[in-house]
Amino acid sequence: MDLNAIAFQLILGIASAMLYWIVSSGLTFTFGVTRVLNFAHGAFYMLGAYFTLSFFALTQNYLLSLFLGAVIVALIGAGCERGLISRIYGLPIPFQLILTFGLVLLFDDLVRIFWGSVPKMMPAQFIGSINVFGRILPVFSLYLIFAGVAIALVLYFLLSKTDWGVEIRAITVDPETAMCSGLNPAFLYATAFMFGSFLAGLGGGLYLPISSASPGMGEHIIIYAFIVTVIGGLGSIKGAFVSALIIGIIESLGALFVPWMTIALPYIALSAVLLVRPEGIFGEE
Amino acid sequence: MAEMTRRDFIKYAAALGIGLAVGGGIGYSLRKPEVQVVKEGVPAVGEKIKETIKIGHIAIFSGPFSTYGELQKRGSLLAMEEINKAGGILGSKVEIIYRDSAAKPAEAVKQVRSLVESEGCDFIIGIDSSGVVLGVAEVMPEVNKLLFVTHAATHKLTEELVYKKGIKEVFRIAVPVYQDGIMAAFIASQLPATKWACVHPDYEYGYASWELFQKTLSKLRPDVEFVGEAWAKIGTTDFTPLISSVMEKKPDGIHTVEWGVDLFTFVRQAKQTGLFDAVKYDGGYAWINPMGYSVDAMEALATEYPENCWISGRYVWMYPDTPLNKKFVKAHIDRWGHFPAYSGETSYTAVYLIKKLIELTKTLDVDTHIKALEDMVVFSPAGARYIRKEDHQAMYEVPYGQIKHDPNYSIPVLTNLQAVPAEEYYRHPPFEDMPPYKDLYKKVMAKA
Repeated sequence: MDLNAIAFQLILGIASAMLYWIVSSGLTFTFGVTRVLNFAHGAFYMLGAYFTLSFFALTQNYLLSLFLGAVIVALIGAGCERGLISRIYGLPIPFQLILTFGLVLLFDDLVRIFWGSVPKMMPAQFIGSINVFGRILPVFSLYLIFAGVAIALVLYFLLSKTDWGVEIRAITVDPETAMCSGLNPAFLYATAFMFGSFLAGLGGGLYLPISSASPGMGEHIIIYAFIVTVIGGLGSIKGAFVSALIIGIIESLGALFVPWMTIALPYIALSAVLLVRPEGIFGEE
Repeated sequence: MAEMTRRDFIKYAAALGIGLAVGGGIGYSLRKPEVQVVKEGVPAVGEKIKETIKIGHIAIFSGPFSTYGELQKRGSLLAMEEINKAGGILGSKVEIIYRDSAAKPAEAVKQVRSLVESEGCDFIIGIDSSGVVLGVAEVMPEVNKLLFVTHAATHKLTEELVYKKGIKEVFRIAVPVYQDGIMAAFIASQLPATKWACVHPDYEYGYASWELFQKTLSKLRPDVEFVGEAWAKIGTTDFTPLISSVMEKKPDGIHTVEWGVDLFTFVRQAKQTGLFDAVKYDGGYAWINPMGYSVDAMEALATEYPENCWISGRYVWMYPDTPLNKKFVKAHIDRWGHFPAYSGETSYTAVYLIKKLIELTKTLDVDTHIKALEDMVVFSPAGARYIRKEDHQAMYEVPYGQIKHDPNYSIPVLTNLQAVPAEEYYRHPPFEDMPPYKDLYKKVMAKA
């Protein structure tokens, strides 16, 4: 096996990782702030793909449609938080699971009603490829890496350089003191949930041009997002980024060296982390 | 297309009458079925067997593969509407109750019990996935109803559960993985490719198909090698690492049984990563995708699926060229605005088979039905189906063809159709070896 093959596989692994990262970033961010484990995150991802699809049909402009799609999903997310999820803060975890799982079923069926049950595709974007290490690297892999890194930088900037980010961090670390200092938890929880939904919608819209939109498409990715989130540490954004990279890369190298067990690798990694460090790589006890 | 079939329809409908013809296999090449004689349990004239004949239809109606439930429903609902419009079954109305298997064995088993015990269903049809069907088959003797499988393809169902274990309540209407593995290898044997690799979904269906493909092809073409494999989890979002790991092995032929949404992702990404180019030959692509000709795939991918790839289904609407098939395609398009999917045809046939079964036996007795079905020949849109006694597998052939983008049709069509009689590529009891290769090789080569 020559080194070029391994290096090339590494690049592809990083690209795959970026989709896991984008979806888990919103999931872990929402959990970090609101302590709600949002099963509906996958449904928001699906909605992001469908709204992007529809806006693209109207505007024929992919980037604009992507942004508009994510904004609509953010608004839907905010509506869900205010109308439903905010009512179960503080209740035992099973309430969250039942409610957010109910949203999954609701949105899946709404998608079926409005867009039909047959999966839909938009015209492929980012067509073409470049030569790297004597192999064909599709442009869309580069696009995934670019999008993933851009989202990481935006998140970093928002959380460390803006007032909103500082307040979000404050209420995450110590809700009581934050409230005593005059922060409005309802506003912060709602905007955090909205932003998490925005990231989910963005993930679906980013994924659309390299695949398709289908009812229930969030079901598979959400499992991966949970694995990534748990490995990285629930609520840790840095952890999600690192653990998405780990999963993407071991899957990619696994395909090259041990194709028959590729499917098991993320679960092996998950078990290993849970055994050695149950709170996750960057998690707090 | 619509105009064309409408004319055909009028022409043929008069000659043909309505419904499927079931009977002794006169002129049917496979084997002479025994003559069916029905003696007992015949109700008096004018007496209904049951007010409403209830059929439980279990398929995937939720999640990423929910299209497959929808495609099946189009077929069975169409059959039900046609039958009820024409007076039902011996005067009884037909009612179909749809239930979601959620692609989970335990859930499907629960639905079977509920359909039989609470809803009073007389038959169960459907079941999409190989993993699910093995669980469901086991409970059929216990609930004492017949199951007509319309999609799930693992050969273990008919070979092991029906033939070896003796679960007689299970029948399969759809062609099993013989289509995906063995028939695929027949096509592969005619292509110049000598280094085959696979990209398969990582579960029962993928393994069964690849195993049969390799076994068959290595006998038909001793010069081929199997150079690489990639196993994709269901719901793979990025196939590129899998594709590149296979391309490292420099294959010149690809066998893939990806289906549903995963197939869309795979084809789109394979195009950008040069996998199609790697398997190109003079005359097409050495790319064999047994379930590629599914209506959902053709509608979603449309012209993005490269022309001249080799694909098939468990039925393709343009084959066979019979009045019955044309009538079905026309009725399906009129009712739903879509071409019939393969599982639509199998579901449609399952409902008509139940109709003919009751008309023939005039009873709802399960044992009588089993006896009547064994060795029966059914004329269906997909052609004559012979229900083999030993394993309860309906035998009929489905061709492979090369994709062509024809502006006259709303979805790509298949050209250069290649079919082999079912008898020659289905495995035979006691299922210890592959079909008889010697003659076969000659036949396949003579054709090529």
